[in-house]
Amino acid sequence: MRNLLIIAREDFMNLIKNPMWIFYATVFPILMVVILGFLTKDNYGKEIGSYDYYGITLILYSLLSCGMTSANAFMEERIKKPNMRIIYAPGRVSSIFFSKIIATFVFSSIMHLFDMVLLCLVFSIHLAAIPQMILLFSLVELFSITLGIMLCCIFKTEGMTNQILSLVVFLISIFGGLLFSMDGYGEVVRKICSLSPAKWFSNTAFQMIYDNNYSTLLPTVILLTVTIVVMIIISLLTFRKEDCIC
Amino acid sequence: MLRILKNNWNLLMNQKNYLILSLIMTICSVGAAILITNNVEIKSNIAVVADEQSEKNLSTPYFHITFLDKEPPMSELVQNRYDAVVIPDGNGGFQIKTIKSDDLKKELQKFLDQPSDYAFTNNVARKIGTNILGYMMMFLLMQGVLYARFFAEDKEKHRIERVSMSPIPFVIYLFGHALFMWLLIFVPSFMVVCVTKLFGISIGFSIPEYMLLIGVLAFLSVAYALFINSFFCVVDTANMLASSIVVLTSILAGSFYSFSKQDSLFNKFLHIFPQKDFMNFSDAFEKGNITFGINLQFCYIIMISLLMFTIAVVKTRRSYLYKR
Repeated sequence: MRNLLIIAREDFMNLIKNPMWIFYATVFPILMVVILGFLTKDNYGKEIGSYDYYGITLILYSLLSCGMTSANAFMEERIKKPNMRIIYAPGRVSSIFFSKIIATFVFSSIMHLFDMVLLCLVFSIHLAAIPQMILLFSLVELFSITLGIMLCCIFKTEGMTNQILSLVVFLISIFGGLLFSMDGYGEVVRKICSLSPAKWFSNTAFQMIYDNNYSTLLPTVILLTVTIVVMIIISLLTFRKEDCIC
Repeated sequence: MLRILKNNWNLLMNQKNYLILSLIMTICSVGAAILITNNVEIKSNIAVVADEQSEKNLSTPYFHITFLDKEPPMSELVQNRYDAVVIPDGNGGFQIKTIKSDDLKKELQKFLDQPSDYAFTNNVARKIGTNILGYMMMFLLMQGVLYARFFAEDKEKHRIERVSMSPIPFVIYLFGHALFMWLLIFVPSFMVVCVTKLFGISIGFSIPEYMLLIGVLAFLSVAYALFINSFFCVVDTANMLASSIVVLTSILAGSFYSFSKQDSLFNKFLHIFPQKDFMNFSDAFEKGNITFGINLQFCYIIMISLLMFTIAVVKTRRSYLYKR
């Protein structure tokens, strides 16, 4: 356990020292919200504005794309040698990827929380049920991080993981209406969209904020937890320490 | 140059599952683009909280009207499921509830006052081919960024320093990479379009027109990817920066739907993004009103791609060729 925390701390330092990741986690979501919100501002009335919609969905989008950060933190060219040292050190080998999950989770949570607070202050985004929202968002975050780690364990290379992740995340975000709302596009499109997990998350979030309706929170949380556990098990099964030798 | 193609091909063959995966990804994304655009209905959705029998005169081709027993929850309004909720107040009048702009409210009021002789003109709608290309654009641009890995790995693993010692000039070297990436992007996506056409699904343009448009788009994507990658030595940094720029600029350029109003200053500013010019061109091409200005925009796409490619060559040459 102590080993795990030491490695996780090093991984966290590695993440926070890279300006690119800080840009990706903070500036990019804010920029997206500002631009999209500004462009669609005229479509909305006074009570609920475009920022209220995009503030939630685009943060969800950046939560989902966290998997790329974790994949980078796991199998980046620079990090391969440190990983190799860990497999020779005493202690459990699985702490290599557990530490990455912890470090990326802490890093991205801090960054996204900062984003959310800043956006709420600047655009006064309508929020409610904050504890539940934080629970939902952190689970989504953990989900995407574990997904990135799992794909890395399966495919052994970061390039491929990134390629799959960026397209999959992009597809489910488009279908989930995270980049722009798809719900108004007719019955067939609505059916296709309801298949996207991103749609379930955003739907749960909006129902909690605007209807005080928590009925979908529990199923979503259970589903996410089960998926995370399954993905961790798959990672444990497919991860071989030989992969870290370079 | 052939040697680079061959080398890249061998690299790719070494990672066969990578190739298969990329092909599946391309097929999926282009397929999804076609699937979505073929089913999109662009109409305002109105919920009427009343019995269908009592409000018979409200049938119209301009709005999509749903009759409900009780008011839909607020979250459905926020998520754009319904644009407005209409509640009859019992004596012929209506109460309109919407989170959308006043324009929509006025339009709806006009319709509710005179349902029979209401007409609404919508001339901004794009045709199907342009929509498909709009959806495909972002995927193709992202694919370029991902395939630039071959070049980026050459840099990251210092293979490029050996190239600089070899008799191959950098122009040829980069052109080899560009050609390879272009084929990887162009061939699968074009195949999907052809297959869809064979199945008789309407896709707007004809096959040669698609060949031209996808070809140009793939070229832009390749040039952009090499341009960004020539400035960075680490694969991930270039990758992340490039893909975030692609997402941002494509949305701004209105690859899904046009956000900005025509003739505003902001809209003119958006034309510096080649994606915007591309959408404009394909829109005009499909509607058949190509003017000199539109042709100019098309040239701009090619020019900017060439420019980015040239900068990539110059930058690479400067970083790896030692003078004296």
